[in-house]
Amino acid sequence: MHPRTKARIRNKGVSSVFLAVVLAIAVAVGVAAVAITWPMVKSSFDRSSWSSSMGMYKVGFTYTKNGPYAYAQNGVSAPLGSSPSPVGYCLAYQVNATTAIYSCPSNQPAG
Amino acid sequence: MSQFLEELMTEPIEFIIAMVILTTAVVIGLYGYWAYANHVTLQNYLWPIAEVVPYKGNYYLAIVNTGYEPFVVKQIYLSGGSTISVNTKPLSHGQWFTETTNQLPIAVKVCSAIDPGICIMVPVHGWSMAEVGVPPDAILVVVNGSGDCGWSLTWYGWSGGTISYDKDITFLIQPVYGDVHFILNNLLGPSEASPGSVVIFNVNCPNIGLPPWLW
Repeated sequence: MHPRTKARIRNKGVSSVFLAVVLAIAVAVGVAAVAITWPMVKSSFDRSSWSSSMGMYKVGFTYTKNGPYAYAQNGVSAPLGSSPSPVGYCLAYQVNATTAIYSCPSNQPAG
Repeated sequence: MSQFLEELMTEPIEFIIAMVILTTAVVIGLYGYWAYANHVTLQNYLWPIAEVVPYKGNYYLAIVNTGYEPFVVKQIYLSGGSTISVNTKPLSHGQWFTETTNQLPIAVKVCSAIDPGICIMVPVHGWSMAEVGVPPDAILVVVNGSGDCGWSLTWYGWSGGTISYDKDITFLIQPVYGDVHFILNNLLGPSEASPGSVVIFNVNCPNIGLPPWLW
């Protein structure tokens, strides 16, 4: 066989291996990109969900036989005191017999 | 393309060099993307809530971790333009940090306890006033302004009872499903009330100075 033809055959073999390796790397990069991207995408969805749930988080106040109580969401409740204290994710206290001051995640930003 | 590769790949050593360069570029690129994605992910899982209420002439600020990624509170931004630097211990899920300020706090800066370089600004939620509700089968009785004399209150109708006292008091008449009438002694206020309502009595001491048995 002519030496030039021989070299050409060898080069074709090398470029085939090169293409195979490039394809393998491309597949690996694709898999890695998905594996890296998925937690980030999920965290964005989780944040949106958290943000909308916080936007609806409220507290209510009712008198009971044991005095005034604050009721937050998910069944969380606590006695209403005369100094600010947490009730679920809200902050509340009683200013007089019939009025409470509170701040919850659903409140508008201060200032 | 094929001709180019043929020219490029005349020797296996060149092929290996090309592979090394390609792999290095891919690894560097992937690492950069991973670092970015990790940063964004950690930032997305910082779930602080900051709230403020007015209290005794100051502002009572509270910050709670509603998520599961611990964070530290770094700075409090006040409405006057000044900032307060704080460096709290890492707050885990459900843990609170509180601070009293003399100016209205409007934002706080919190940073991840896992990677302190990841920080977010959090707006501070303001406050509202709300009525403390009365159950529909009860009447809330509020007696204000005592201290100078004793007083007594008797109620009858759907429910009956008497209370004598010499201090402010708030209590429920419960259960009650119809109107209740009041007999007042040293009190000023309404003579009847319906379920679900609040009745406020103010202490009036016309007999001040007299011994209790002559009220």
